[in-house]
Amino acid sequence: MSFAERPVRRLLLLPGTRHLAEMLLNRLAGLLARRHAGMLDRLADFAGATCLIVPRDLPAAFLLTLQPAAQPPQLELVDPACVTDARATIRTDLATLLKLLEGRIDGDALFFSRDLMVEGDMEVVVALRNAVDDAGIDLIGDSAAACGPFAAPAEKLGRHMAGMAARLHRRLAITIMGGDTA
Amino acid sequence: MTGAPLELVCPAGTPAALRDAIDAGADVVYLGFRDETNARNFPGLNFSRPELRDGIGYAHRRGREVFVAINTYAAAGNQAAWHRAIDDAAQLGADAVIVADIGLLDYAATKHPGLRLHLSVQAAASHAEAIRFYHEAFGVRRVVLPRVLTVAEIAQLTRQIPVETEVFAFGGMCPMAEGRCSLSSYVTGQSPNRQGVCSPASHVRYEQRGEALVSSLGGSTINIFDKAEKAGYPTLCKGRFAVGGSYADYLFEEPTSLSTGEILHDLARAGVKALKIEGRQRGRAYVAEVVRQFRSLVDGMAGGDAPAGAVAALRQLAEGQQETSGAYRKGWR
Repeated sequence: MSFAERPVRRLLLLPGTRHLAEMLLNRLAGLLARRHAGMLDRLADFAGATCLIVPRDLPAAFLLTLQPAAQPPQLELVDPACVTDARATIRTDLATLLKLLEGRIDGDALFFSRDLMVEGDMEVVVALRNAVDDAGIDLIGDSAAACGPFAAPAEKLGRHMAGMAARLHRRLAITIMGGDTA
Repeated sequence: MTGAPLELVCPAGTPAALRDAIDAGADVVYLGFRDETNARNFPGLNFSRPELRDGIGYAHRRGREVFVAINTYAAAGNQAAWHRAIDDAAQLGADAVIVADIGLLDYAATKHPGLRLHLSVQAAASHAEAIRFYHEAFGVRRVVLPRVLTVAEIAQLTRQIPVETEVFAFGGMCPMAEGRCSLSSYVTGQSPNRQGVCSPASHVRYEQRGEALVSSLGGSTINIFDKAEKAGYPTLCKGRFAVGGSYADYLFEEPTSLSTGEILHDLARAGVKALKIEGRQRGRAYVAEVVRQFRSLVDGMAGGDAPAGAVAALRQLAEGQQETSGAYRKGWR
């Protein structure tokens, strides 16, 4: 961990920050589960399974726990070094994770080229990949749809902000991690 | 090129992949049910009955077709799931079923005489006598040829048989006798031919050891990839083995994909009717890109042009980013 990354991780994992981030993440997971019910159907055999998702260019990771009875998965913000009992682990950069979530990139090719690292129980990883790949998730479009009559302007604003966030993330990553992730 | 253009038969592991394959130019999509009746029985993959109904509707509205693979061998005394799969595919309007098991071919031919039957590669029918038998006994209309024949052998075969031929055009290489391979079964207790799973995900583990990636199947290490190496699928036929005290190396097959991008004219001249793209277990981004590239190659053949860049683009999509024309050319001889 770089000198600059440590305080960012500490800030992210402070109880208040962490609680807020987890609340937002789980709201999003619930929204996606409602809009893409078939995704949970494909994961029905894996209730209780955990998967540690590590964005290499973020100072914290997500621990995903699949739930029974078509309930949306639960997400926790964690220090990846402190999680040793996840059934599977996925590591890549955040931008790639988002593309995988939206089915815009070939996960197997990333694995062959070693840009995506998987460890542990491949049954969970394969089921997750297939379920998410079929769902047709559009993070901005799905989130905007929850705004009812304001969906169209919300989507426009969301796409504009996503562009800004991507640029900011690249700059922050260079500063915090001491490397170029462009 | 003269004659009808080659038909593109493309894979779909999910409804989203089906739609993407059709939108990218597939003439036909092939798929399977969510159970052991098909040879890609992986977690989270495949179609429920309502999904198949919707998928067939999506394809037919665009003038395309859907084939249903029911191509594992039915368990003795427990054939109900396989019979139900045939009945449901017929009832939901599938354009063909792809079958290997003789008993199941007989069931389909007897119970659904109007249902088009294709012989799966899992039947490993590689000579005229075998193919003629399937045609005469069950009315099989097309054979998916095993990946063991040269282009010249395919040309000779197509002149001798009364059915259409479909050949693998791109994707995973199976170097073993298809429908007969027991390597995965030996290590995991589950078979591609019976349970529909080669190297079942439940038996696969990856572990990072320093900068090396270690893959194991059923508790046995089958490969170690150094930092600079491309990784491959965890199948025994693509494992590295040390024999007689030598260093570990590939005995059967390196991580590589079959690719016919450069020999499509030869295959067409050999009388092949359809090209099959392997990869129902792959994501929809991969499926859409491979279909798009093959669509441009096949359309380019009809117009007399080979689209620049399509073959190179396919190479980027290959396992280990390596490709081979396999038995079509038998370049190792």
